Amino acid sequence: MKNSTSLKRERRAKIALTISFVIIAVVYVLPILIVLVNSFKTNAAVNTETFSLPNAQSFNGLDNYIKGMTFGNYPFWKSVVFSVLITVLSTALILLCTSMAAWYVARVGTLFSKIVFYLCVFSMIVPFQMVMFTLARTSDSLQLNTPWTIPVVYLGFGAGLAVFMFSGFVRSIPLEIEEAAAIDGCGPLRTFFLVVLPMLKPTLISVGILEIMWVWNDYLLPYLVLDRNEYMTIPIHIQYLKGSYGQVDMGATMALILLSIIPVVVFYLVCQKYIIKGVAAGAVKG
Amino acid sequence: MGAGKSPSPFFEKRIDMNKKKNKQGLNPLQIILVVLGAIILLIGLLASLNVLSKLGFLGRIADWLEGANAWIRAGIMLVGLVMIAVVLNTIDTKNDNNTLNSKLLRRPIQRLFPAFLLPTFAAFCLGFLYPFVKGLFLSFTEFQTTKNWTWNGINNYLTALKDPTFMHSFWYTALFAIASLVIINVLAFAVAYALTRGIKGSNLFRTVFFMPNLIGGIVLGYIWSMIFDGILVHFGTAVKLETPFGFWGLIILMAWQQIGYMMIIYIAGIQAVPEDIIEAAKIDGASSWKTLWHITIPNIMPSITICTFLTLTNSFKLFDQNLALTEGRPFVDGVKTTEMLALNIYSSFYENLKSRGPGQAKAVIFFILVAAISIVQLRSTKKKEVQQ
Repeated sequence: MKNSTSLKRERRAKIALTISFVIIAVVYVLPILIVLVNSFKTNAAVNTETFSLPNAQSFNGLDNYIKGMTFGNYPFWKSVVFSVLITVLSTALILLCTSMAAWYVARVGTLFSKIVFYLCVFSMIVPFQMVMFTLARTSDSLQLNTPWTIPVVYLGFGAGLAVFMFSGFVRSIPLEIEEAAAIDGCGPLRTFFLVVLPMLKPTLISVGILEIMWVWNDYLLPYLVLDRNEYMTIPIHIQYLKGSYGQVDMGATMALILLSIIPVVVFYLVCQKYIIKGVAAGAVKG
Repeated sequence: MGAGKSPSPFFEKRIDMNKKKNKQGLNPLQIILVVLGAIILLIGLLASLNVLSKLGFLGRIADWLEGANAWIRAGIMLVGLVMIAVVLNTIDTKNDNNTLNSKLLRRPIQRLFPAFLLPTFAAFCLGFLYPFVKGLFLSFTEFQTTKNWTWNGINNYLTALKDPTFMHSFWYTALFAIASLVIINVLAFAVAYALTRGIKGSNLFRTVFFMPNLIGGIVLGYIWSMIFDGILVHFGTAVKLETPFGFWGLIILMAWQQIGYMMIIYIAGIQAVPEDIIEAAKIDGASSWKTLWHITIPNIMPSITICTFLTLTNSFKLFDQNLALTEGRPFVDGVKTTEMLALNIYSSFYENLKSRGPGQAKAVIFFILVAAISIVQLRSTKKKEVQQ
């Protein structure tokens, strides 16, 4: 008898827990829903009636979106294009170059590869502010200030973590596979691209996701490095809109914020499993 | 590519002899290469720091080098570095089981050093190593542009430490770090613990809680500033008008963003606790509270260490959210009351050109601070690993 009551109590506790979690989860997504609702309101209504649904007076239809896309002297779609371009190029470059470097560092035990490895570990503990000014100057004088060249800067500053994660994984691959490939006549390039790289796939995904999230959301590095009159990314654009005091159109800003969140949420829902795994891996190692 | 040579005993022997030679030291050619590389690197570096013409030798070449395109100086430094690297790349170190010990397999890879390692190394030098060295150097000088500097000794550091805004932002950051550390970790652990009780839809909850993590700091800041101001407007105030609002607003923002992240790490830790220990405790009559306190928590100490340090370093490095939410406002007596360290360093670079020297000194102090935290973290996680 006693057992069944305690089981009942446990079940009841579980139901209560589930219900409270439903409530917490709703509260958790509320900020994004508020952005969604406010993106359809007029500027004045966003400031005064932030939490009410749009009514006939405050409803603004898609005006905010149309206005936001063309607001100011720099259209938003251009920022989106540059954000995508920079994220894709940087991530591809980082994955290719650092995986090759990490394989070399892990497999060839010379003094130089050791030095490179420890420099990479060292770079992981250096905050961006330390190199902020000089990096901006250097990339400016080397003309690395366009979306097509900024991936080099990202590769340089982001190499540390990527090399560290890749070489950690390479070390866990049994050597025999590569030895067998080499004995069968594979040169280093073929061994790497046909044998090692396919085995690196889980780490490639983890590092790729970390880099995508970093580059896509990064504000300060592109803000300082890019030629601001010509190129903007989404975070720079939003900061630029909000920075112009007095004339901020809150409705339009909310529309743009929502537009910038949508790709992130879609990306998250599509490869959620990998993202959570990748982020956790980065945390444990970094 | 060249690995197809058949391994003959003769070949092995020759390589063994090479190894012995290496152990005795570098051959003269290699020494010449290293020295030459070092000289070239030094010339490039001095030219980049605009010291070369001040030193007086090399005369016109020095002037030309300092006025030339930055790529020329970068190229010179890279040539010097590569010359040193090529030599260092022939010195074997103590090998563990993970490196290719067979020379036959390793040589072909080593020969492809320019393809495998060089691109990353070159970018690393441009994007990290050179700015780091130059930043360190400039912290001892007075400068407005990197070209025009005058030696200033440790004065920048003294100025930085005497700067009331810097000291304020340091204490503000420390307070924020401690508060957010406690709040985020307690809540994240509670959520993780509840979600591992086997309730329905825990995967969905996990998905929801993790999501804010992917949104960038700037966007996060503006979402929350709209929400806070939407509430505070009814009381005739705003986040940017009162310091406590800025502080707790940022805490709420960071909690919203980071609880999901820490929760994932805690869930992984809790799931790794062996089932049989918990069962044994239950059979022995331990209440669920006691099981949590005496079994689960001691067993997930590594996760706790990781999360503690992550929240700590995240708070110290916080920039985007701080900029977007309050920008350091409100100002009281010339001090930006909600300005954190990273933002303070940024302002000293870009708000007042004269405070760039002290700004770089602040950046070095900031670097030492963050590095110290990271090193303590590494030490403590390693110790824990040994104990287990």
